[in-house]
Amino acid sequence: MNESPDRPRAGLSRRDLLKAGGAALAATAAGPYVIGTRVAAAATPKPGGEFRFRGYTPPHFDPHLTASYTTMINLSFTHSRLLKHKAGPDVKPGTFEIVGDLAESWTQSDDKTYVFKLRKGVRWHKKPPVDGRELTAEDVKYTFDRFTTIKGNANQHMMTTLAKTEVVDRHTVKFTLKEANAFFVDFLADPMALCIVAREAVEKFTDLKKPEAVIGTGPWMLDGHEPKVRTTFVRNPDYFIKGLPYIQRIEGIDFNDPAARLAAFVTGQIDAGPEFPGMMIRRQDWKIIKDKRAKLRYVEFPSNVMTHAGMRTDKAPFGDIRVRRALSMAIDRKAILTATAEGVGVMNPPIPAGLINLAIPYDQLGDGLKWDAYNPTEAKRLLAEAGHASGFSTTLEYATYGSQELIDAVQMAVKFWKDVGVDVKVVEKPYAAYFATAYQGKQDGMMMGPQFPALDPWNFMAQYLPDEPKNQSHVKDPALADMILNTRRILDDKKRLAQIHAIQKHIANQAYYVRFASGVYIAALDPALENFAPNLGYDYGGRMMAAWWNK
Amino acid sequence: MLRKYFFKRLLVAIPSLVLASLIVFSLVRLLPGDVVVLMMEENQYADDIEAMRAKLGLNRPIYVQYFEWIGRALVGDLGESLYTRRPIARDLLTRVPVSLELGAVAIFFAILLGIPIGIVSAIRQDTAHDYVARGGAILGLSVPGFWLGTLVVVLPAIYFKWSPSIQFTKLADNPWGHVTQFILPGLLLGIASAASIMRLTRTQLLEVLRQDYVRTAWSKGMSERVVVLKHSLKNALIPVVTVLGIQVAQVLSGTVIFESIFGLPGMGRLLFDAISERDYPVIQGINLVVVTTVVSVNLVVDVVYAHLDPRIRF
Repeated sequence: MNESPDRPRAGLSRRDLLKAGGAALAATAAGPYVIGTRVAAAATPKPGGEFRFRGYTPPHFDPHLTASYTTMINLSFTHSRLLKHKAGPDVKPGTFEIVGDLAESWTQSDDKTYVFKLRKGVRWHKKPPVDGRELTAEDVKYTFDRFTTIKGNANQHMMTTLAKTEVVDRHTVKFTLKEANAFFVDFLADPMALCIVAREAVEKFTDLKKPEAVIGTGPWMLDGHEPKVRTTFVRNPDYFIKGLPYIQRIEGIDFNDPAARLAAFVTGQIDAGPEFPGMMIRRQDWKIIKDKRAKLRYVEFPSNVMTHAGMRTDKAPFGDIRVRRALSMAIDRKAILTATAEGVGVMNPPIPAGLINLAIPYDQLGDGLKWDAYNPTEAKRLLAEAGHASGFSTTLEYATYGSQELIDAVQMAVKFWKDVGVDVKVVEKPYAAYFATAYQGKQDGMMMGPQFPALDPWNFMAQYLPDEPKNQSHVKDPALADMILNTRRILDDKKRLAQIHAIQKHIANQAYYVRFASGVYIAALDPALENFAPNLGYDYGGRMMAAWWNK
Repeated sequence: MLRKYFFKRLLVAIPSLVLASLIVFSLVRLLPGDVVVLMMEENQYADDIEAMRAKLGLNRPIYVQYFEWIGRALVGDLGESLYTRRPIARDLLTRVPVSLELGAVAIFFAILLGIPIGIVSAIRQDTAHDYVARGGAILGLSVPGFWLGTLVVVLPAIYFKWSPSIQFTKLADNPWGHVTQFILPGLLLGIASAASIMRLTRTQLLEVLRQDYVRTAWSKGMSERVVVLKHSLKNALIPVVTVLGIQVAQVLSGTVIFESIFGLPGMGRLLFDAISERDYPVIQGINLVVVTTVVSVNLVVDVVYAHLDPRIRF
């Protein structure tokens, strides 16, 4: 969906909506848009060179004691996981094929048992106290035992179904689950938490917070860390895939002013777009960048950050499905997209459209689709039918996240609700207060904000389970909860996906949340960087591993 | 005599510091709502609320907390950052010099621009030079520093494909590069102070130039250079020195913005990050350092003031 910004139209028909969502999804299904110059691929990768990107200073480096993306991005260069997501130019952004990392192969002997064969000859970085010894199944067991038992691990929920980890032999490890969980391998590949750590490092440094404790088996080794200045990595000469990585040195430069970031990128001080999450540029900067830094390669793909408005469905008036549907139909999503993202975006089913292999194609949402179509007349009719002919008043809690686009979206939504008679009083909260309250469903009426950009479907579906803290709409739908919990027990990929699609249709039809469109990211890269493609998620190191400079 | 005066001023400065430390200490505790709950839920700084309170020492009587905190601060222990778990004093040891360098360059430019332009403006009163200088000063005072900083970073990048380096250069790595990286942010940070100093220098000099002893100097046939620079300027500069002390506080607060824009890892940026991360021991520690610096600078200003005008003894 690439369009020029224009004035918001009075309305968007269901046909328009289908076209918009369909076009975007069609584009993503066909692969990312690739625009700009690309140098001819050389036959042989050239080792060496330096890659400079906008880096991040983490609170610390212990992956089991923080959920911070700043820690995970840095560790993606230095650590390995059992499994990882495939990377490279042939991978469509928004897709996450699982391949082995430390695991050479894996088998599932029954619903609850997974056996992983580890690669042989994998060595830890040559740093004390581990000093390059071989990685074994004991290391994997140690990591999972620590992950599941350490206090303060915000990602522990990923392994709640893990009953025990056993060493079968030096290079074989067995996981036994308490119950079937089809998402178990998704979590193992997740770049957010499950990197394998060394016992000696934990024992020597008490935990893994210090830079000295960053000892992994990954393609690069931590070379230097100056908080809020730079973090540097050097090539691991003993990396277990011979010849990789190609790039000798990685430098993450930490600077937090958006104008300085734009200037640095335009003047070639960094090699990839500086915006979060991963080598992006802001759409409003695109024209300047295209004019001033020629020959860049651009890749566009939909964001998996989805903003929605939740409401207390356990209370009147939101318990009435007609009210929820009316609130959804009152919103002109196209107008908001035009005002906040230059009209470029994708309509979201309950799992963000950016996750193209998991989200149900928008035009297949079925009955739920019509509640997304802008139709204030029908919205008023539904409200009248629900006994609110003269509307009602409520509150909406949100935090700005420092985003003017989000502020504009909230203000426009409030205006659209006002148009159908619903008087929404906006309560702006500091981020921390919002995070501690409305983000966890502790609001009186409504809340609105972006959701965690997970790469797996479970995170998005789990927020409809009655006891989940992120169930911001207080959904108590036993049939839906059954469907969601049942997905963990469906081990056949196709059947599970069909169930995930059915869940999305059900959620959309119930209008538990008012979903808004997501923007389309623009990744901008030096065209001489070969064998690299951007994607969603924080696995910077995994995507850089086979990249090389053709200059 | 001057020594006695210095010790008297030092005695006055101590209660100021104690009061300031009480204010710094009380700030977080006066915030509405339970800040510990917010810090805990957002950043998982501890296992539970009670552990968090214990970690921050908030489960003890407030006077115990204060005396313990100030006692440790007196021996250079400002506690540990909740976010990075590093000792705050150790972080400040690397951050403070960066901010001081930036501040010194800013004050250097403020003096370099403010005093000469103020002199020219006064001795060429109501001429084109004066109007331009006064107009420039109004502009310097009214243009927000963050806007100017952003323009200086972005516009050259767009029009000339040049922008200041985003990489901080250490003194040991490249002394010349280290010094030059402060010039642009220091100049921009110093502009507002230069404008204040220029206006004050002009006003004070005009007043002095109208005094009888200056008229006598003119009547004795002395040159303009001697009358202005030798006989008038020293007296005119006494209030300017006082204002310079106040400018130090302004410059230190300005480092928060300029260090962020220019990627300088100083105390201002540490404060900015600590506020974003609700790392209140760091906020408290930085505020204490800033307050101590400002009180110390004002103590020095008082002494310089007394040196410039020996009549002053209060």
